[in-house]
Amino acid sequence: MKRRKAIRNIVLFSLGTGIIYSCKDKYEAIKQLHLKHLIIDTKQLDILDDLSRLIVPLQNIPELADHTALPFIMNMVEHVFEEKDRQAFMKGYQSWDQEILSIKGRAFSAMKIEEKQQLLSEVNEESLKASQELYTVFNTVKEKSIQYLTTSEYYQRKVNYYQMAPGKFKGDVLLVDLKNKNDE
Amino acid sequence: MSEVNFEAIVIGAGMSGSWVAKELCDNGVKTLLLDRGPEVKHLRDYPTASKYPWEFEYRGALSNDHVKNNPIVSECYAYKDGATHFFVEDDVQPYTQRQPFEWIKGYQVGGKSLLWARQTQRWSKYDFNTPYTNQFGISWPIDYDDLAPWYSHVEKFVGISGEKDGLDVLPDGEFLPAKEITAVDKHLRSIVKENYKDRHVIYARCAHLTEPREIHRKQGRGQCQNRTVCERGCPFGGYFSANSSTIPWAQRTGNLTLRADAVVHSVLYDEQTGKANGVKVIDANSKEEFDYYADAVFLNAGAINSVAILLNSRSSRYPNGLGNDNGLLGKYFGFHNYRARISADCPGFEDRVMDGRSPTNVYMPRYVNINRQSETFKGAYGVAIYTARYRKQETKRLGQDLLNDLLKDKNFMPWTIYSMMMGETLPKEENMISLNENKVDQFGIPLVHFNVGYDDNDEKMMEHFYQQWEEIYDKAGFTNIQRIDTGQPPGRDIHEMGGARMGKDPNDSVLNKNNQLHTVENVYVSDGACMTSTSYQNPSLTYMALAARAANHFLKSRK
Repeated sequence: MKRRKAIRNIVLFSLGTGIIYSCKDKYEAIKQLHLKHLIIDTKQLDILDDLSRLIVPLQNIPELADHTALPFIMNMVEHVFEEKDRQAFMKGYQSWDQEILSIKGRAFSAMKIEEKQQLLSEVNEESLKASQELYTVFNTVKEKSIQYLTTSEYYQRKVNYYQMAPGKFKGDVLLVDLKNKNDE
Repeated sequence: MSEVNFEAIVIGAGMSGSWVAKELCDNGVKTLLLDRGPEVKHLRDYPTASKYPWEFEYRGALSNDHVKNNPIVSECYAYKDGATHFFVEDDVQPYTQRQPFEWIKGYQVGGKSLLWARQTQRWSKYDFNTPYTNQFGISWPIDYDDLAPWYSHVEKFVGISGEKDGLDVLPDGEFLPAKEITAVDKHLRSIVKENYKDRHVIYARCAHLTEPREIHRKQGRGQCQNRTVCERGCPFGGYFSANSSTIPWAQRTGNLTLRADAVVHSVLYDEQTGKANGVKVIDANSKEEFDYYADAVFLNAGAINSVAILLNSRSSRYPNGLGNDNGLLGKYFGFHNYRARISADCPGFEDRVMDGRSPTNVYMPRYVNINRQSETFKGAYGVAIYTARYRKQETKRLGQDLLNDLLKDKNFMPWTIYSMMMGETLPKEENMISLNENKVDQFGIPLVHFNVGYDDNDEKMMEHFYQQWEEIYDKAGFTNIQRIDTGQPPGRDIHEMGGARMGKDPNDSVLNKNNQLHTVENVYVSDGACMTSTSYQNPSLTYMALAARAANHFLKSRK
């Protein structure tokens, strides 16, 4: 009896304060963030995960250390965003599936990949009539996924040719020479 | 020498205090160097110096909670993830104010020498003379010729990268080679040369070792690697900081005692001798009180804290603060007006880029109000000029197309230019700091109260800058010219100065020509508090030169 009550309390606590996690390990990294402001369930995480992978498919870059930007996105929204932006983002993902259902007659989570891609193209072109919060989610996921990639070690080293201690600074270089140097 | 008796006490182990300590220790003076912050040892205490950008959790951003809890210091350009531990959080030493003032503090051994912008332009004879000749201040008790040898003395040790420009408005110094400038910098320089006889775009002299000399190697410092993360501490010692240079140098003499976590409450005054005889210190951690004694006391705690310590040093002889017979201590407090900026795009250089990163920029020294007041405003301004061309990220598309754009992209944005007015503010009695007698800090020391603001002269100067630079940009072919007024309150420039100004007359100043209190000759104030006027240059080089000069005056007076 005591055990049953304890389990019920844990469930109630989880409902009140944060994430309900499935037994899957897929979102372990997010669980480790111990989010306090963002309340999200696994279905909503699945939607955000889908969005992130479809908008910037990091899973297609084998050299990347992590193939998902989702933990980074959630961490940035949780800790760096201002309260009103965080609230807009949360409202947006909590109503995302329902809003898409009411617009398209089919929930986002029930769509095939091609349908999802088509829908996201409409959002990207701002041709979908949808709430501000839905656009907040889309723009946040896109912007933060790009940030995650472009500040990653892989991108900084391989694309941006970042060096911690570059030594010399050359102020006036021909673009063609820089490209040739980087291509070497 | 006992544990509490020294020949000299220096309050503040930052830019100027470390210079006093170095000069004294080099000459055999047993010196106690106090700092209210914790010890920061070169190399050992730079925890983020070698972190890569991708190792920061928020990729360079600060958490919203952090910004909300620190609205003042968060406005500082160098307050970044990776450097916040070298700043003081807002609630640690609160203050009161009549008008908004942003007091940016860096309390640790080394102080803000770890965080400074490393710009090192000398003052010229015009900077010393025009406050008096153009009738907006009292006469400095020294002129350029008095300070020039000390500038050289400091520059050789610090290591200054620069070019010999031959300008009387910005005298040359002891320079290491300059770094390269950009294609747009070169273009602007030639346009200005063609169109203006009185204006010059020069390489901004900076405290970076471009070609270390023997004296720098003796300090254990190496060449600047253009990392441009200087505010985290430089493991190469590539730029000057007290931590990498003057403090370890002084320690090696065996004459220095360094005491961190030592909050100075007041300077002790001996009524019988009419001299200071030590300082009262509160341990920052235990709150225990200690007295230390010495033949001379040097205040180098930063302009605000040095003035506050003097105001709090009360005795029956000096009930309003040590050396404050004329009631001017805390008054004529100054800063630099950094509100005005102007930006533009720079077409025509599409085939040019930069390779790497530079810790400095180009610069235009003063060009108005030189020999006489030629404009509707008083004082001078210089201009810091930043040009850059950044990579462009094509982010319009989605999915694999977007990924391809991001990965293959080697396009660049247009060149941009951003110029910032560095404006002299006029010495005014009503711009002042004082002690709030009704509120104390965690050490029982009265809070500092600020009454510091802009005036009509600052607005006129900004308008002049905007008009002149719109014209310059236009002649250079720049487009999309935008005036910017940041609206920032005084203080964010972090060039606080004055409050214990030097002067010839004890009736209108606090310090004499040697940085001594007029009436207490064994107390020296040789940080920003001593400044009679502000001119417009980044002031640290001048503080260091004045500090070295004051220390050597003390040495000479002992012989």
